[in-house]
Amino acid sequence: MDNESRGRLLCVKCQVSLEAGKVQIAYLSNTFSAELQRCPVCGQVFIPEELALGRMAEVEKTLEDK
Amino acid sequence: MTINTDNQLPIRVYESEVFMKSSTGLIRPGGTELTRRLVEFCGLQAGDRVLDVGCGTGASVACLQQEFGLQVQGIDPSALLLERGRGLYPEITLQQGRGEELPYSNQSWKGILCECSLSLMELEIALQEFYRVLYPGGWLMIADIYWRQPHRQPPGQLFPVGQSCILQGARGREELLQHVQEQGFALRLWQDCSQVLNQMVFDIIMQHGSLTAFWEKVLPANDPHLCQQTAGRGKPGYYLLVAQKK
Repeated sequence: MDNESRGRLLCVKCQVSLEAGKVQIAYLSNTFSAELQRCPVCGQVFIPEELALGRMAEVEKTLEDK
Repeated sequence: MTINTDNQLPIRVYESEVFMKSSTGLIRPGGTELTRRLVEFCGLQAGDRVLDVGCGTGASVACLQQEFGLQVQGIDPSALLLERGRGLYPEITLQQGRGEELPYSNQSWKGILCECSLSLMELEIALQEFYRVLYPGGWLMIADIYWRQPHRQPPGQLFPVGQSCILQGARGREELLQHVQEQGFALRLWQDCSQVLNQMVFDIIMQHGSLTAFWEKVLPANDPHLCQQTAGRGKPGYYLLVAQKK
């Protein structure tokens, strides 16, 4: 995924703008629904670094504690 | 934080701005999907009279009225939530009151819905009231938090006195079933739906960064780490329960 000059995100493969949409995230035996940027053509999802290393890591830790 | 002081409950977690910002007014796990599941299980038909006890802003009242054609009314002690609900859903009927003291005559409802609110009530008194106002054969539909390992939950106050939080009144499965059956209801369904609680935790972390940050916003006067640790000890889960008045 590329960041365009105005902050829009493009799918490298399809060269179309990503759109916000509901995606399913699977973790262990849990499936979560989240709104993320995804390519409307190939369906590839963009997960920002902050989300992966920050909030997703926090979810992982919290669920392991539960 | 918005603090409402009517009915001698100084702080109600569900009235905090964190929940009030929800666009639909829904402040419980599972959303209206679980509401539909309960109503479909009972086979309720258009025109049946259903009371939503602890209705909050009335999201379920609106859903059941529109989608199932039920004659639904909601009752809740929170003037703040009712006011917001009347703005969100002007077509529904909401009334202020407590589940332990329902202002309705005996045998006047075909169904009672109680979503994420029974734990905030005095359990035995509320169940007596539900039994009283239901028709014979009427349906009690509950969705709520419970402790999956109640023996690990320390006895006594989970949060300081005067703070009203759903976790405060949560119980174990066996204790809940015993109370429901002792009241004279026949148990028709018990279903663990704890996945919806995980989704809620996920949503909270996505929105607030961590559970600790969430507790800080909801109960700013408390130690958020202590709240989180204490609340997690008994392994909170979520259940659906359907019982029928004999």
